[in-house]
Amino acid sequence: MKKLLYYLDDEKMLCDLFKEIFESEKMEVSTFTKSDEFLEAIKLRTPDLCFIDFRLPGENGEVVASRLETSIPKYLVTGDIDYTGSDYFIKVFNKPIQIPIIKEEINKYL
Amino acid sequence: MLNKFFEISNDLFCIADKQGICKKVNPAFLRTLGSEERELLSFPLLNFVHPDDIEPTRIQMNRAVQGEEVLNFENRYRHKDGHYIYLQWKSVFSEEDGFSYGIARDVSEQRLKENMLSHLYTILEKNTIFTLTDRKGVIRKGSRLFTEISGYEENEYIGKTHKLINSGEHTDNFFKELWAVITSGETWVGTIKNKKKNGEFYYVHSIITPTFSADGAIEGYISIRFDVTQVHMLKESNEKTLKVLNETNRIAKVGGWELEIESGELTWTDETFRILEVDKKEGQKPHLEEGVSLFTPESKEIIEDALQKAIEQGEGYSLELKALTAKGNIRWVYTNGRANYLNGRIVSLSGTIQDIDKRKKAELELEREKLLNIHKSKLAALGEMSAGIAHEVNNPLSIVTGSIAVLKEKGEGPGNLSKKLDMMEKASYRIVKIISSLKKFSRSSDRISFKSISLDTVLQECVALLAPRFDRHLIFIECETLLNGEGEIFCDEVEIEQVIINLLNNAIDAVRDQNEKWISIKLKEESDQLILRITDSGKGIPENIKDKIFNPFFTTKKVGEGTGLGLSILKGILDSHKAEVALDEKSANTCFQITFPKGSVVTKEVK
Repeated sequence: MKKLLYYLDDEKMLCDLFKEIFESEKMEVSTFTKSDEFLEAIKLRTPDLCFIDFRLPGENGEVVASRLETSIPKYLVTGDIDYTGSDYFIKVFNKPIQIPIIKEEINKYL
Repeated sequence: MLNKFFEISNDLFCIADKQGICKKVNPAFLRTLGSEERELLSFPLLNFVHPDDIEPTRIQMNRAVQGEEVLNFENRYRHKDGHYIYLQWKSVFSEEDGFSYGIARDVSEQRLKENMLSHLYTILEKNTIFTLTDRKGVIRKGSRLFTEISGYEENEYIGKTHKLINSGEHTDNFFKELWAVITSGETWVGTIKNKKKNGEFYYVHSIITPTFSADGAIEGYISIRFDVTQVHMLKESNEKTLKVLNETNRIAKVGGWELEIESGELTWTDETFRILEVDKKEGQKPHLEEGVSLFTPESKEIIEDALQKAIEQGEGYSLELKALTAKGNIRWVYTNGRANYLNGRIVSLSGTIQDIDKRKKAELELEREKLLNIHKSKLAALGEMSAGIAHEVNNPLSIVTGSIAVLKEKGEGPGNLSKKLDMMEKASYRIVKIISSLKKFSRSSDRISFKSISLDTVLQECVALLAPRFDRHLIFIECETLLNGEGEIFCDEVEIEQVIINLLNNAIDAVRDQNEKWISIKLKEESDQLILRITDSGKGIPENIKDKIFNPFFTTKKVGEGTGLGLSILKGILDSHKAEVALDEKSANTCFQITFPKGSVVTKEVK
């Protein structure tokens, strides 16, 4: 059965690229540009892991993460260079994203 | 034989009868009165006597007739030409023949001298501060004016010496020298400071001269004095004022100078010599050439130019220059000058020179520190912004790297390449935009060129530049200026243009998706300010972000639409123009107001 990955980023192009790069026969990728859509989707279907951008319109990525079940593995993606991380996230990935490193992380779920 | 004596005697002989009728006179008598014998003989002698002397003469004549000897009696006889002659008589009456024999001597010269002396004495006593002393200086007599000026009554000073009015302000030597002069028989002339009875001082110009007895010994002294207190006080006060002035000048380090144009001669005050470290040579004035040589080469050029303009056109000047003193020291001075006219012609220049070395150096140091601080604050701002910049760059950069990764992995597939290139291009331009807004922060102040330009003109150019954008978004634009090309501000044109474009762009972005779309621009003049108001149909700025809008990287725009640098840079630019930008909170719509100082109020050193 395919694994499910959610990606939340207000940058539409990045969402598209993320999907294009990481979607495979084993991984289904859904992307969201708005937090409320993302939270709605989670209620309908719990993902195996999710990536959340930090700087979002309205609430930031950390607040969004705090609203999720702790059991859902969460990763933060950010363009900020001074973000120090938080307990909500397994790992923090800096933008510009380095695809092999993220791929390696994702592979752990396959 | 005795008759011979009668004929040749220089004394006047006269024989008269008992009734005083002239019977015989000698030639000396006739000579003295300028008369001939026939004019005298058989006439009463009293006919020729001065009216005032007739009565005393008659008395003397009677006494003689009664047998008394008349000795040294004086009366005045009329000369033929009308003037009187003093005669001193000795006469006897002879019972034998009933005649009076008189011998007289002409004492006119002596009497006139005596009269003049007594007249002089009276005048001096009446009009001068006069004292008469004995040989030891004890006062025997003093005039009314002496009583008045000294404040002592006659009985208080008679019998005393002048020590009574000694002011104590003269040295012992002063009086020693005075006495040396007068005891040697000479006259001493000079000014003495004396003290009144009430303690006040007074100055007298004095002439002290000895008087001599018959044997030539000094009998006493006469002092004639004139009150010169006022003159002295004035002199003293002038000297004091000059001293104070010199002292003040020295403390304030302000010197004075005057240039006589025709001769090129300079007159300097003491402080000017001090400031320029030139040795003052008595009776020798510095020349203009020497004066201008006391400046450093670059300052010399400026002062020569200013002097020429002052001499030729009467233009005044005030400059801060570097002086190169006679001792080779370089110090900052402030100097000013103006032309002095005589009959419409410029004859001289005069002005001041002030040592401002300490202040100027402090000012320069402050200026240097200020520049350093501006630089530091720019760095600080950059530091603060670096996180924001990184975020804004990293997002589009992710798009670029992501696209490359996709292309590498999945190949150029149909449509894939152009789509990815498109994405990369857009993302790259976003980065370009951010970087170019940063240029403002790297710009150093010396490259800004300030000049006076019409704010109205700049505004019209901005509106024209943005016209296509207004049209595209169907925004109604209202531009109302009351200046008609007038109303200049001292500014960097490019920067002010950027400020206005930035504000208008913000307004466009704010209203373009609204139903009601308009932007209103108003420029008006208020006393010495120009006020620019840009209002848009937006509903104002939310309360919670009002304070942040001028912070770097603060933006309400969607990602990719704004860098958040606009308003912060805009504020920086306006600060450097001494202009103020504020959000008009009273306005129902979003309204930014910029207040510019008019004209060249901004004094920015152009280097």
